[in-house]
Parts: sequence; structure tokens; C-alpha cells
Amino acid sequence: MVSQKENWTEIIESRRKFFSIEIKELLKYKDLIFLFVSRDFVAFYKQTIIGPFWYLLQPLLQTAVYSVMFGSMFDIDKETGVPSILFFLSGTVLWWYFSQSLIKTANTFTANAHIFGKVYFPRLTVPISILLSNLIGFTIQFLMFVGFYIYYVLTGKMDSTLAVGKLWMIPLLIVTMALLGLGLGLIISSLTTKYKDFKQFIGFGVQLLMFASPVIVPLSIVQNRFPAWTHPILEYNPMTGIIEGFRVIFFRQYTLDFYNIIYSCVLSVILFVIGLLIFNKTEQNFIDTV
Amino acid sequence: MSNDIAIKVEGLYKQYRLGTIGADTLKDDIKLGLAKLFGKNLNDLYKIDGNDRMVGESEYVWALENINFEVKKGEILGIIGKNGAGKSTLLKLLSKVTGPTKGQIKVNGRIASLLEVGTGFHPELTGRENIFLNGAILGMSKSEIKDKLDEIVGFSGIGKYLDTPVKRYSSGMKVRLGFAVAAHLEPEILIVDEVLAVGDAEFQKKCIGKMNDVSKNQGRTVLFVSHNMASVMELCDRGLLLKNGTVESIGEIKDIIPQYLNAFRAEKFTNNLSEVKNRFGSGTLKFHYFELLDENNNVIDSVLSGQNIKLKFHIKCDSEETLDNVHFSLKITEKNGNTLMHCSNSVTNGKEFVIEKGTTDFFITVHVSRNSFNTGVFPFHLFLSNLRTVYDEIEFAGEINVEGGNFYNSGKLPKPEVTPLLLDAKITLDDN
Repeated sequence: MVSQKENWTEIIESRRKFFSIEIKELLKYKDLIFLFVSRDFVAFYKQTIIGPFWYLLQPLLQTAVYSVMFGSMFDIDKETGVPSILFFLSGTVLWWYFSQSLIKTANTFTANAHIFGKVYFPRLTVPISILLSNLIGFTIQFLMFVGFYIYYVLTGKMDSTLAVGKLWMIPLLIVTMALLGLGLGLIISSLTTKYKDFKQFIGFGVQLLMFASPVIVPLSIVQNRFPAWTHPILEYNPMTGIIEGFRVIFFRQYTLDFYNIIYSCVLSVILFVIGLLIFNKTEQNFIDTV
Repeated sequence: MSNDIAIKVEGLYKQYRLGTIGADTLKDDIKLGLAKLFGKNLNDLYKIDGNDRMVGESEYVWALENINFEVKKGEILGIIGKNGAGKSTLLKLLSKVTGPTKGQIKVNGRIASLLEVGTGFHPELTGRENIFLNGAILGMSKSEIKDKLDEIVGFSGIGKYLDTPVKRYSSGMKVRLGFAVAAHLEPEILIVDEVLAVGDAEFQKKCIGKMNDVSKNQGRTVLFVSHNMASVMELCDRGLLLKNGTVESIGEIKDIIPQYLNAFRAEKFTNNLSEVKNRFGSGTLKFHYFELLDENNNVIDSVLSGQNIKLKFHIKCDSEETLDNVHFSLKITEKNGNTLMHCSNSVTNGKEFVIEKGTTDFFITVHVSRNSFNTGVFPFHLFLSNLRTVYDEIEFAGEINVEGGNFYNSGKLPKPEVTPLLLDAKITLDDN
């Protein structure tokens, strides 16, 4: 046989390279990512009366409940020097983004099995679009927090305690949080294709995790008042560095070891890479087991 | 030359795991993982193939085995085979929904697959929004869809409902919208799975027309999977017949379809009538077995509408005397027993048979030219008698299995629910 120069657009094989995230292919599907984002955002409030305001109502109500129940219990105002409303609002807003991203990406394969089983497109478009559409919700909620913050300062209920020199940390923390939610979500989504146990676990797992994060109780209070065995739970939780790091930016009087933030960043990146690898290995054949 | 080949499949295998995935799966996975970790000789535990998957245990099954074929550019390949032959698996591999276990598929050009229409429609979004979403899922860019929006809307015929949420659409409208989007894809290679089986007759016609247009006029490659032999014959140039996960044959579609029809053979009920218990009569003459033949006397198992066929009955005779006035009749019914047709030698020949003394067995053949059955299964009933005695009578003696053929040379047939029989007619439009 004469050897021919064969030009194939694509070769479909059993095993892909270990790390072959096709950035080029993802970019080709960028329109799809944005359509997914707008679908998720629009479908969220279709046929509702207050529409996007639902994004505000949820953290507001949560903050109100926490303030009434835990505000005086832990003396948040006195211990941290931060008005309890602002304290809880910052916590719930950040937690909302992380937990929503985690829960939704964790369901990537199971929730989209009917589409994935019929059409091929880069599967990573789904988790990426989840991150982006949650970012819209987070931005709305974050602006609400800023509004409250300004209101407290203008009405003299609180002196401006903004650490201007640390503002650059905001994007860093948001990216870290996104990578953390995505990384964990990708790992769990891949495991869920085989073992549905993880689907059951994720719902209350995230709830439990919230109590292991400084959403309601700041790290300092845990370290001062809670039994010693509980300290490592918060200290090793990557969300601690993110949530407390955020508060440090807005409340100068707040104290936090800078090491906590670095730890969160590094761990998030590691989890993200592991998540990508597992996801990449799973996506080709998951439809056989899901 | 590789340049005019659109798809080349080489040594393709796909394995599936049988049974449920649960605690046992985890146990197996851990066992396998530990064995790998400690460098045990895996062959002692399981037989491992080149792809690190356990085989040899009965819980794994090969859905596709060693598939090799090529598709040239601009060709329409019909993929046919019985349920479970591996058609859908092959399509899934070609459209990258799932990966092969072994082997390669080499592709030249952009592939779009239509395993379902309207994939990813979101009920809360409007028709317009869903056109964009569905188009993007199928691989179109936003600007491409924008350019074709008017065409898509026109083709689907949803017009004024464009800005209504899809959840308020009828199922037919959803299908039409889905197909309209898919039909305006412009891939070099299109993979289609029986989507033509949906929608009303008028829309189906539109779809076949569109597929023809795509391949014949625009020179694209189409892979088409269907059970409907009428549309396969109409659309395809070549056929690929799958059987039990392997390629049975590949070639001109007109050669492949008869093989497909015969593939049903030997798995259906017996043609042996001698052991039928549920019969009535003296047994002087007894139906022994029957054969369904095509016009060249080849045994066939299914019939195409419009084909010339023969029903041949072998009859055993147990009589010392000459039998005259032997009456034979054949009744063909629907499954519920409603008579569709009846014929007998008294009517078709005008007289009965005479069976000479000493005959031990003989044949009766019913010659049917251009059979007018629509797709379906038609039971037949047999009767042999003379003026006084019933020799043998068998109800539901056998079935004629009819696959929709190209009866009208239009590639189309009425739905079997509409009519079990076809009128051999042409319809013309005349000025006066």
C-alpha cells in the first residue's frame, strides 16, 4: 500500500491524553456558555413577581434570622466590633456563592444526563456557565452588602473601617472561592456518576459545612470560647480564610492570620486541578454508568 | 485517497457492563485498584484487556466488536439492523456521546448528530431563546443562528408562537422547532437517528426532502439509522448491516436490505406445521410445513410491501383412494383476527384439486404478485376440505411479517394504523 498523508479533522479514540483540556474547543463554544448563563439567570425568575430581587431576599432573611438568634448569643458586636447585621450579611453572601456553585456543579452530570446522552459539546461548558451565572447573583448580593455598609457609615452607626490597602484582595478571594466551589463540585460530580450516594450527601453536607465555616461564628470566638477540638475544623476549612479574609478588608479592627488566606488559595488551586483531571477522565464514558 | 473519505472506522470496540452499579462495583473497583497498586499479576484475578477493563467475567458484554468501515464524502449510508444489533451504540460513538473501548474513528469534517430533536429545550424559555440555545448545543455560533433565524422559523411553522415559552407548545410544535434548528445546521457530516418517525405526514415529507437536499445538492455526508425500509431505500446509496455488534455486510443499499429482512430468519416461530396441536379435521390431508419465498424461490422471512411473493405449503397425504374436490383456502387477518383477505382454489382457479391415489405428499403454492400489505404482522389461517369432510384446519397457522417497502416508488407509505392494506393506485391531476 502506498503510504498516504492522512489529514483528519478529528480522531476519536478510547483513551485521551491524561490532561487534555481543549481550551480551543471551549472557546469555540463560548456562545453556548453565555447562552447557558442567560438561560440559568432568566429561568431563575421567569414567572415570578419580584424577579431578580429573589437574589436579595434570601440572604436578607437569612441575615435577619441569624442576627436575632446568634447576634446577642455570641456578642458579635462587642467581640468583633462589627455590627452583627453586616457581619452575618457578609457571611451569608459569600456562603451563597460557594454553596450554590458547589451544589450545582456537583450535579453537572446527573442533571444534564439527558442532554449529554444525545449531543456532544465540551462538558466543561456547564460548570463554567454555572460559575458565571452564580457570579451575577453574587454581584447583586455583594452590591447589596456594600449598600448596607455605606448606609451604616453615613448614618453614623459605624465608622468607616475599610482597609483601602487591601481592596485588591477582593478579586483574589472571589477567584479562590470560585475555584474551590468548582474543584469540589467537579470531583463530586464525577463520583456521582457511579455512586449516587454523593448526591444524597451533597445536600446536607453543604449545610453541615456551613457550621464548620465562620458564617455564623467568627474564627476568633471559636478559638476563644469553643472547646479545643473544634479549632482545627475551622482552621483547616478553606472557606475560613476566604470569609474571614473578606471581613478583614471591610473591617479594619478584625484580626486574621494572613497565613489563612494563603492556605485557602493554595488548597483551592490544588482541588481545582484534581477536579479538572477527574472530570476530564469521567466525561468521555460517564453516560454508560450514570 | 484519504481525501474523499469522510469517516474511517478502524477496529472499533465498545464494552458495556451488565447489571446494576452499586456496592459490588465499589468492591470490584477497590479490588482492581489494590491489585494495580501492589503490582499483582492481574491475570490471576481477572483477565484484563488492553484497556484495563475487566473481561472474561460474564457481567461485561461487547456491544460492538471489531467494526471497520469507510464512508465517502457525499455518501448517504443507511445503518440497519435489528434491535440490539448495535446501531445506537455506533451512533453514540460517532457522535462522541460516549467513547469507544478500543479502536479509532477518523473523521474528516465537522460532525453534527441528531440523535434526538429539541435536545436541551428549556420549558421556561421562549421559542426564540430556545432556537439559540438548541443551535448552540448542536455547535452553531450565535451569528450563524442569527443569519438563519428567519429560515428556521419559516421551516418550523411556529410563526406567532415564537415569543411564547416552549412549555406552552404542543409536542408536535416542539418536534418541528427542534427539527427546524437541526435541519439548518451546516456540518460536513450529519448523523441522523430515526427522527423522521415523528411529526405529522406533511412534516415528515418536509424532513425527507430536506435530508435529500442536504446530501444530494449540498454534497454532505449523511449517516442514517432507521427501521423504516421505505425511507432507507429512498434516501440511502449504501447500507451497513449490523448483526450482534459486528458488521454483517456493507454495500449497495438494494443488496443490503434483503439481507436485513432475512436476518430475522431462524429466530421466529417455526415454519413446521406438523406439530401444531390446535387444529381441527380428519387428518387425511395434513399441513406439514410452509415456506415464504420471493419470486426467485429464495426463502425469506419478511416481505417488503409490493414484492412478488409465494406461500408454499407442504402437505402430507394419508389416503388409499383418489381425493377429488379438494378445497384449499387461505385467510389473512389482522392480529385481532379481523379478516382482511380470503382466497381459495375454488375461486382463483374456478375448480378444486384432485389428489391422485398413492400420493404421499404434495405442495400447494399461493403466488402473490405485488403484495399490497402495509408494514405489520399478518396472521394467516389454513383450511383443507372436500365437500363432506374437513381434512385440516389451522387457525393462526403462521404470520407474514411485512416491512414497509417502496410500494409507491415514493419512499412513503401510509401509517399502518391508518390502513393495513395498500391500494395499488396512482393519483393524477388532470385539467378536465
